[in-house]
Amino acid sequence: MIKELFINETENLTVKVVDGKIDALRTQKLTEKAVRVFDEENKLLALSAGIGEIDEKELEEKAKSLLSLGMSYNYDLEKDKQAEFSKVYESYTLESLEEKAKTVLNDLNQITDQFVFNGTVSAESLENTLQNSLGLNLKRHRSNLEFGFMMKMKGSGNIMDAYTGYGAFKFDDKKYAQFLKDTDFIAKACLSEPVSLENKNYKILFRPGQLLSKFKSDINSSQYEEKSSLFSDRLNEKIFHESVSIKEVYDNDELQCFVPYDHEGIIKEADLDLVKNGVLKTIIYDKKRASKYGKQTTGNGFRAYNSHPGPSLRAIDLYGDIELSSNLIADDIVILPFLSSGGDFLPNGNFSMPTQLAFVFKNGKFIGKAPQITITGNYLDSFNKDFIAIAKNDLIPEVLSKKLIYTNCKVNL
Amino acid sequence: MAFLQPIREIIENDPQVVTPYISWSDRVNAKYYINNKGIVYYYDKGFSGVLASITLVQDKEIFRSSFYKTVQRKEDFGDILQDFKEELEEGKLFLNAPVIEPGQYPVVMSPDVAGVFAHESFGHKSEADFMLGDETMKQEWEIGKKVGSDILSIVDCGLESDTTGFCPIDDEGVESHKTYLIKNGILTGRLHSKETADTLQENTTGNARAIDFTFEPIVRMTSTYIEAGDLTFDELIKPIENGYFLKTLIHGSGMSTFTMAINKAYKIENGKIAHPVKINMATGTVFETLFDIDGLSNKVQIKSSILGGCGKNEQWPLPVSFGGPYVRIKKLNLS
Repeated sequence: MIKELFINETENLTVKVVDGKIDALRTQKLTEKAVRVFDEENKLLALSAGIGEIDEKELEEKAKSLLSLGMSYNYDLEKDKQAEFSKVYESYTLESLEEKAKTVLNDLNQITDQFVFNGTVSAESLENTLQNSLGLNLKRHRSNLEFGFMMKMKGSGNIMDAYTGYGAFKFDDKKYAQFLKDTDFIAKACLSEPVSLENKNYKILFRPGQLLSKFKSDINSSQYEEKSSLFSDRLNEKIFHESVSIKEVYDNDELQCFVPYDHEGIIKEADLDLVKNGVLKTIIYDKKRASKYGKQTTGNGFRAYNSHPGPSLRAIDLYGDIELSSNLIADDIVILPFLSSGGDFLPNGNFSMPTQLAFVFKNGKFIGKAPQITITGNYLDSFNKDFIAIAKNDLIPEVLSKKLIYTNCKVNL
Repeated sequence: MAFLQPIREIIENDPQVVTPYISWSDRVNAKYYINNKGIVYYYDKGFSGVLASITLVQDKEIFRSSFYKTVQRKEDFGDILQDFKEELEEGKLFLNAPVIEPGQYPVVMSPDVAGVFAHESFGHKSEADFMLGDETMKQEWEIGKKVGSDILSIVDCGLESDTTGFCPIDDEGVESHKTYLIKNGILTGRLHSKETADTLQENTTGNARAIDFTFEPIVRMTSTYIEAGDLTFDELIKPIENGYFLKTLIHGSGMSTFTMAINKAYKIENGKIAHPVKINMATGTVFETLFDIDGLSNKVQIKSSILGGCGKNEQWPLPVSFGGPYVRIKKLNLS
């Protein structure tokens, strides 16, 4: 009987802000623990999990009792591997975090008195342990500082009119100064007069997350191998414009990603090319899917503490020939959708993106906000016939993604 | 496992079904509360639920369908296998359904869709913590203001004991009751915690809820629904010459415009349900749409789900429920 132990220990300090004032202080210390047992002879596995000071033996016995449910596995487990990874640059007490929050709120109030700020300032430390009785012993420890605020225009009937935020592994004066500058732009832009637009195609600067959520499921082996992905049977074929390269990153401070091993014990040594010069290079697998479909795991087996792993992506990054956004938009009307909530994709890649707040640029200069619009298109077209470029975000660099996707799409009023 | 086996067999033997995901959940919550003001309470609730999420394929056409049922007693599942088969066969009808021409159309929403609409478009706006610090908004949202059509009433009530929104006493020890948010088109109430009630000088409503012991209570909904009218479903669709019946959805959200990602929808032609169609999104401006509601069927259905829940700030997923009758709206943006 092989035993695996998975533990997440999280310490979180949060300062809650309501109406621009500190409303609550919270400390959380949470231990999530799970034991999985693997019956090697019968190739069965089971899981038992709990929160708090739970005896591992108790979890183990419970898991063993669940082997009778007959959940099977057909892969080898990682073994004889020990490593510790740490990215802890600073730590906070609740008092020091509260002082930080006061500074942030004071600075935000200097920027604008036209908005109500609601949100949190939080510092979190996460320590993950993955061990098994075959000699696997991996640990990861990271801490980060985040603040995020919903911005509500005073007098607005909306819950939120804009947002702003800062997230990093540590506090950085330069990034913070840029965050304040970004927030100033967002506030002014939100208060600006709406620009007149028409129902027609416009050049759009999308964040990767707005266009690539379906891509993430299309390169998941569960979809790909079952022929329900738009890319099924297209590995090593050109799926996007040759300027488009996408990789999965595992240790990237800019993207706040630090995941050096997956939850099946595969240690990362390099970023993973997903798309290179437009060609699909990788479909992501965990051990179970790799075994099922006769492939190798890509080290993408991730789980919540109380579930078994499944294929999932870390952060992704666009790379290659990239120009500054400000250069690219220098001579046209360009729309940057900032707040777009509630959209979705059809299985054929068509998407509909209701956009509550978008910024309009003309000849490289901000000219006003868009009226409420819905942007529609097909994401494959956005990366092929409608594609223009991948752009480095020098417009709102701290609050929005570092890279933007420049493409043509239909705007509907 | 034995309970799910018949569903699993249907799925495994159907060549059009790929990437199936079947989930069973049992949840029992027992809540104990005590404070130094002398409030002591205990209540519990238990639900079981099944979710079967499948992808249907035919040639190059793909359609994603899901079936879920949440109950309190095993007998309430009824003939779940038959229900699942019907859902599966209905999903296949959408594989080759035409995509609609985007535009504004009259629609009828099912109770499922109407419930999400009520929750997302208006329910969150009724959570009083969103009004704190904004004097203009307090004046604009004055109780007594007309905000919707005369036939529209929206309620939040934590006493619906057979729903996942059941919360008879909130996490500050305040008992729940039926709170009218809108009554006959008039803004009638808000949802409060003790703090917001005190700040706005209004009565508490029993809506302070924390997702678990690690968070503080904040203003949240419980069971939110549109009250019934007096029409039958056929009477609702009869006047529509060119519109759509929105039957199920994937998700919804409420900002200045509300949005609903639609899953199954049907064309309404000359007062009758015609054929399946593919619609990606239904959107509208909340305050316009509340006035555009011009027909309600005569029975409310409230939907519970043991899987998923409501998200607000960091606290997700909170068990809630939502529903309504069938609701007719003069126009919605569909794309």
